[in-house]
Amino acid sequence: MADKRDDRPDYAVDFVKSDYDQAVITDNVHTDNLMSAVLNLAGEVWVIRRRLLIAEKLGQQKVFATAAAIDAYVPSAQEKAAWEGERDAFIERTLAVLTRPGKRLEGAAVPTTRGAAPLRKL
Amino acid sequence: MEIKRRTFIASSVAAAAATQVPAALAATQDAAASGSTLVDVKIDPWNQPPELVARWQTAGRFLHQDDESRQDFTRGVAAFLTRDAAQPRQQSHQTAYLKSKGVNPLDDTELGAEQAFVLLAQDPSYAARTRLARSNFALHWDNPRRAFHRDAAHYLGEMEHTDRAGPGRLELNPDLEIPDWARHEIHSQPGGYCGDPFGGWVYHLGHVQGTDDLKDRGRAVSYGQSARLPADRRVRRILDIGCSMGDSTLGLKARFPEAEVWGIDVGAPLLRYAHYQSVKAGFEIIYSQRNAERTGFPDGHFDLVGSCILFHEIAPEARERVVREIFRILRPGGVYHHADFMTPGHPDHTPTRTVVGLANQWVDHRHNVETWSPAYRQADFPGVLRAAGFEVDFSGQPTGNSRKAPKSFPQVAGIKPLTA
Repeated sequence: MADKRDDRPDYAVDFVKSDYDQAVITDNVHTDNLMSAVLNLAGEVWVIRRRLLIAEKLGQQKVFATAAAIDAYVPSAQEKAAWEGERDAFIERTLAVLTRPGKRLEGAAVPTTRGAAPLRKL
Repeated sequence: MEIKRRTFIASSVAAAAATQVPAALAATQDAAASGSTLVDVKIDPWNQPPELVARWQTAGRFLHQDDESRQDFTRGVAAFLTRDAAQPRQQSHQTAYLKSKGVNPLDDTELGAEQAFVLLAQDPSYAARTRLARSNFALHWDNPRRAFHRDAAHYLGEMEHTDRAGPGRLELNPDLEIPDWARHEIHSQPGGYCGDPFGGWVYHLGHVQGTDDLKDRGRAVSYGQSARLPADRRVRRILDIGCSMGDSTLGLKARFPEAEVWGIDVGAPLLRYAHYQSVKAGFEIIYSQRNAERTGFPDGHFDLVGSCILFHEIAPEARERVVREIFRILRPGGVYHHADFMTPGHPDHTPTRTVVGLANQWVDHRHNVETWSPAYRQADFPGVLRAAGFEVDFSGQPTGNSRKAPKSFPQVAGIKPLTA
């Protein structure tokens, strides 16, 4: 097997580049870019969080959490389900606010919602 | 033009041994009217036997845990956005917003798709959700692309190893004239199907739709299972056109293990990966780089020709040429198995006319680079089949996209008349 990629045929050919990566969807390009940056950062946090989960599992098994051991780790179905739950909670906690409809608080009166349930359960 | 076809001939010994379907798959053997025997394996796409699941798991995977984690994150975000949009507070907010603009969200609108999108995108919630969805989609392509290019030596080596191995074989044609319409970055996959050497890997390991992905092969198996048989039940040679990275082709081979199964596509990077994973899983399939407008196969060569979610990615000017070519290479009595979005001409078709539906179609077309999808969705596709000479049947089972959407693509079968 040759080591240099340039020496090897890859069979890729010219393609028609689209402009989807330039799209502005909110009312401001900076908002679009910041939302993308927040999403990317959240993804990297989850990567680190998942590494930590695997390191903890390896530790329970008395295995050194080397890079190779982490790369080779395959979670059990039970772990996978639990981690997906943790992932979903993490995403909800970090990103849900970005789609909040919001409203302007106008006027001097302090509006209240009567009958709100006690904060016993989050 | 002189065709220089690069053929990697498989090991015939490995092919014979590896393509035996496990006994646990319980092949249903039906006597064919012609006296030959059709092996027609019945599989529940959403509850596959462990032997088959184990074969799928031989396909490519990420070398590094972090790449798997990044994809896991994008799957989570896609699921979150679906849940978020369905929340009562978001639904009532959107209704109130549209009513403030004089639009009832349940009514048909005269707006065009782009106008509908522009109207909805003025709502910060819709805009934010759409922005996140697009950025997430970009991430779910970008992560695997970076992974495969970073570890290019490894992944190229994997393909080089199987290029010439069996079962099955790979035919690449570096001189094939690839039409411009097939070089677009469909569903915003960087480089499209032709321009990234790891296009097949990226498609397979990057393509996630919410909580389901292609790894469980549910869609592929469903597509294979929903294919209608010819009246004489003779299925000896099958072609999957626009086979991409071979997922659908595997679904056909899993159902008809004794048939000679071909997959064709214009994208060499996809075909290399298709062959790679077929070899790993032990399926004897011939993958060949050809243009579906002019396949080069003899008249009446195939008993069954299928295409899985292909036609909405074909330019209008090529659509009829491909259909005529399918008709030509099917034998009389042969069946064309069409699985794609419903179009006018189907008895159950209802056009999308709500503001939200139209806006979503615009996002899919313009932001997701479904370049040819609107033209396909407006065309009378069954009419195109009839114009080519097919009899059209809608009565069979649909093809599912996932466990949660098991009836996504309606049954549309084109039957070539015995007199043709």
